Amino acid sequence: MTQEAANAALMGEFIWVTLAGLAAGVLFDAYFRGRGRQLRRRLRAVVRR
Amino acid sequence: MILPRPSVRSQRRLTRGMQVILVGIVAYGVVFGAPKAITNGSMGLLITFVPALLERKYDFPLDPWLGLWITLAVFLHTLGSAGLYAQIDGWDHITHAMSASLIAGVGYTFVRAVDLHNDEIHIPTRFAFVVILLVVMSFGVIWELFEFGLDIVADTTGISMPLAQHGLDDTVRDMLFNTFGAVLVATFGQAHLLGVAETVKDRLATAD
Repeated sequence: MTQEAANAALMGEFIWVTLAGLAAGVLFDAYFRGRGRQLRRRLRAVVRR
Repeated sequence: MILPRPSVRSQRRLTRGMQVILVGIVAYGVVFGAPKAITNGSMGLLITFVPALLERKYDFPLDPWLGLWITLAVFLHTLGSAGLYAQIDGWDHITHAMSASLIAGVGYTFVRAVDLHNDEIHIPTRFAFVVILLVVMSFGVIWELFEFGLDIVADTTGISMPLAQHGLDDTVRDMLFNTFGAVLVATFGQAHLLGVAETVKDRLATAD
């Protein structure tokens, strides 16, 4: 494999890694936002009691 | 760990010196019809005014080291684009380490500002070290993809681009020097960037 081909293959890996990172970011963000909302709801319910 | 701090006067003198050289590069580009020198030189010149602009317009004074650091990173890259990348083997490594340290600085400032701003979030110093490394390495991947994209555009259109990749060895070496820059900031950043982070925190508090 030439240097150029190996570099292109590495860039292909980098593209997948970046996409995976973006997807993970969106997923974590949604999860923590959801958890935050749930926590606030439960806290409000406890305070009302 | 604290580095010796240059005076504001020395910082201004050094910045002016670099700006004069950048004007020289733009002038060279205009006289000899080198579009790369004009675009890189002008962009570099504009960025060197950012620290002064932040201070005057937004009342956001930067540590003299930080101002000099931003200017020097841009200056070295512009000199590289003007010909030193091709002439000096290690130039690319110096600029990568400098730019990476700048990205690390921005990453550190952001993390520390969040830490100071929100009472529920505590980021220990050792964890900040890891965050800096991750921010820089991730940005390094994005940067390499950007260069790769420019290479594809240059190959397809035949237009010469200001940046290019030079094979696998070059990519790996770039990332190695990115990490080196990140380690430098992770070691010295605490002392020099805390003031900036506190200013960002105050701005966040005002925005709330």
